[in-house]
Amino acid sequence: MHSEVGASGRDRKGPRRRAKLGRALLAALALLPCLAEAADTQPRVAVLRTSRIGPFADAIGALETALRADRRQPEILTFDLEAGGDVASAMESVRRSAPAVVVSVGSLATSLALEAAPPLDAPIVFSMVLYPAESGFLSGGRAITGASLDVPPREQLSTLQRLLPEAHSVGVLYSPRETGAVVAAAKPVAERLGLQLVSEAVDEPSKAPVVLDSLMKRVDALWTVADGGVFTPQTTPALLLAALRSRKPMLGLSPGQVRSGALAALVVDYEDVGRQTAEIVGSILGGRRAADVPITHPRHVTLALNLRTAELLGVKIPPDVLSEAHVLVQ
Amino acid sequence: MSAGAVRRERNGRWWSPGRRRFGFAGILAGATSIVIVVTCAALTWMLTSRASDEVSRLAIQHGRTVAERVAAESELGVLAGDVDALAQSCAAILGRDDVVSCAVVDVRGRILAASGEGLAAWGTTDRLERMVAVVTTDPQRRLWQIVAPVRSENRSEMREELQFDALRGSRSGGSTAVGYVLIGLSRTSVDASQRRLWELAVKLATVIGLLGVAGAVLLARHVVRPMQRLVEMSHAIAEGRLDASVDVSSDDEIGTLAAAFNQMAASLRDSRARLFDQNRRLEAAVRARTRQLEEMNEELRNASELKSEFLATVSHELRTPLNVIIGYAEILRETLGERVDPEYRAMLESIERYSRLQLDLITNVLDFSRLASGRIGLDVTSFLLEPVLAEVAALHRDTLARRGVTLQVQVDPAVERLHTDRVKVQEIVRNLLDNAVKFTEHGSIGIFARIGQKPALVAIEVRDSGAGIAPEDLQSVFEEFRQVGQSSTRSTGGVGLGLAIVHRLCEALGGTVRVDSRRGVGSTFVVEIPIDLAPSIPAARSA
Ligand SMILES: Nc1ncnc2c1ncn2[C@@H]1O[C@H](COP(=O)(O)OP(=O)(O)O)[C@@H](O)[C@H]1O
Ligand SMILES: [Mg+2]
Repeated sequence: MHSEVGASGRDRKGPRRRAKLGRALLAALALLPCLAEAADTQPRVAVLRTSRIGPFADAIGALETALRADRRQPEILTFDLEAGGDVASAMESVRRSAPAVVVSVGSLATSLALEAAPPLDAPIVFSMVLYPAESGFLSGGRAITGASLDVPPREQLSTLQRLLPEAHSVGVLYSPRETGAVVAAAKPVAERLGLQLVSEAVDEPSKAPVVLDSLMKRVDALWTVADGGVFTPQTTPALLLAALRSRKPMLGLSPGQVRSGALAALVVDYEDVGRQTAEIVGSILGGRRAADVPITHPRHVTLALNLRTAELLGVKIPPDVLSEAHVLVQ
Repeated sequence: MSAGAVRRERNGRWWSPGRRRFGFAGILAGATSIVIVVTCAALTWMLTSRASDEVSRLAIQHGRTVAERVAAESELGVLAGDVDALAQSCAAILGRDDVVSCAVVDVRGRILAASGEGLAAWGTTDRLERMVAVVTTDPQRRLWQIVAPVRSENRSEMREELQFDALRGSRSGGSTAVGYVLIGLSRTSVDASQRRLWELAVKLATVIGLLGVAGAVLLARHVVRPMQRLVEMSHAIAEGRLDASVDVSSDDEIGTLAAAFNQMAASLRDSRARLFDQNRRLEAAVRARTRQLEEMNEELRNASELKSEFLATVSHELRTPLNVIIGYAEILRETLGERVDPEYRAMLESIERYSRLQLDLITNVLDFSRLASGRIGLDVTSFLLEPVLAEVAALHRDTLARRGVTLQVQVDPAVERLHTDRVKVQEIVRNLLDNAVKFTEHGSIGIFARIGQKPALVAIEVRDSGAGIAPEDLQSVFEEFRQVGQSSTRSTGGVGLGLAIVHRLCEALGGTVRVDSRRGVGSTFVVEIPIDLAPSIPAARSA
């Protein structure tokens, strides 16, 4: 779900949103006088967040815990960018707090940080971001790195292979503009694994279920990429239902999709992503240049399973997979 | 029948014990009211129960729509076992549209979501499949249990037929039930609105029924009032009050009847008046005629008296010279005796005989005219019969001795004494004996008196062995101036009045006379008169 929020957030930038963010920042300004005292001795880390709940909260919690454990004792300043708030004034207070590192949690916060005018001086470390390269975050020549949510296609497809040893052809839906590159990159990966990746482009989300119906006749299983042009709140149930009606297994995007009928999904440990972020911040505070710190991928990924779907599809889960997996629906 | 009797009869009818206003009006109003009330009740029951059924039907239909909608939404949740989503869609409908419970089960009967009350004991999936078609009620009758199947397609199984199915335009054949949505629909609000419906209907029906009954009563009164007036009028007419009239001006049959009644009363009045008038005139005419008759009667009486006086005078004047002639002839015959020539002697006898005949004739004519005038006075006395008969017989003894005819007089001791008019009895017997002597040349004559055919009557019989009367003449011998048969010769004398006198005298004495006769053998005349003529018996009958 977070990936979808991020993706759609990038598409909906506007003055209204910035004004809202600014208003939120004004609230943060009230805290400035007492924070200014420690400015000389402690490095400051500005955390920009757009949501305080769910996976973001998990990641931020782990991030703060890890930073506090850092020997440099960075001062953590948290800025809430409220959707539709005064973004400009919020960024002004971020700048005035003179942080050593700006941490942007999520794709929306990252794109707001990158677009701040005048640009922020500090290097940007993003967190909880899907497809940072494909989102264009790395192309601006800015000092930026971070912890992505991308589970590499190789890992995803090999998991699918372990789960469904019989499957040979795997279908995937994508919108060319959003995940065309991801799918294109995944094709050779699949080939190396001995799988045939059949991709179908979707012009607009509403057509996705129809496209999926025809695709399902040609493939043994369905792989998914987090694509806002395919998965919307309206199309997701229809896509899940189409897959179930076709009695074809689907590797979904999230635990939510597994609960709603996907056979399985790879679930990222968000707290660990927070810790990965803290590690990157630590190395930058330690003097490394942001450009030199590589973007990380999730280290801890578990497989979520819906055994009821498995039963409906007649899929027999291999015991070793089952033992590692997290069963969401019995 | 008197007016009182009429009223008593009218009030005595079984449906109106003593009260007149429950008459025809009561029956009419009652019958109409019963029809109205029954119709009203039946219509109310029919319409309201149909409306009530419709209310539940709509509620159930709505519940089914809700259940089907939830079922359609639940396909993914049931297939994936997404209990949270199912619980959400269940919770979403709860509390709205009288839905009090919602549950989703899969085909194996596993409960995937359940919320609300009264979900216990919905039964097996087989039963659920049956309940899809039929709405059931829970044991407490507080809920309707509606079941909708959750259907899903299995497209993997129809890969080959897919195109074919698409052509047919039907894919529903491939869908199967993967679960069921169970909805409990509260009957409370439906029951309440049905109750309200019934209450309203009953109130409405009561009002309509009461209005109908009131209308029926008014109508009945309206219809019957003129009839009552007609009844009163006919009673008045029956009691003779012909001046009664009824005031009904309606334009219907009753109005026509009333008009006819009034016309009838008017014509009755008219004819009664005419009748009275005629009666009066008739009475006057009768009175005038009576007076005339009385006057005529008086004149007649006067004339009759004049005639009687004239006859009495004439008879005296006629008889006196005859008696003188007879007396002198007798003296001459006895004085001269055998000394005169037989020739002269025969002449003397002729004088004497014709003079006597003349006397008899006059006597008879006078007697008859006295009787015919109708004024017969009775002189009732008590007397012995025997001397009367002997006295009459003595008159003819010499004549009969000359002819050699015997005369016998015999009186039964039972009728020795009579109580009647002695002179008239003697006159009767004398006339009869005159005839017997006249027509009997030889043989015998007898006079016998005895008890008649009834004990109160005396039968006096005069029998002779004379010429007799021809059978064809027997009926007419009692008529005036009637002389019958060959014996009616001038030589025997008489004018034919003797038996007519006998007949009238017998009637005057309250008796009868009859004759029995055979030609050449003899005649028997029998007179029967009362032994005792009571003075109270009218003295005479008018002639
Ligand atoms: N005893 C009798 N025998 C035969 N004929 C009789 C006898 N009495 C009456 N008659 C007949 O009846 C007739 C009427 O009689 P009556 O009235 O006495 O009239 P009269 O004696 O004057 O002739 C007689 O003319 C006679 O023919
Ligand atoms: Mg005579």
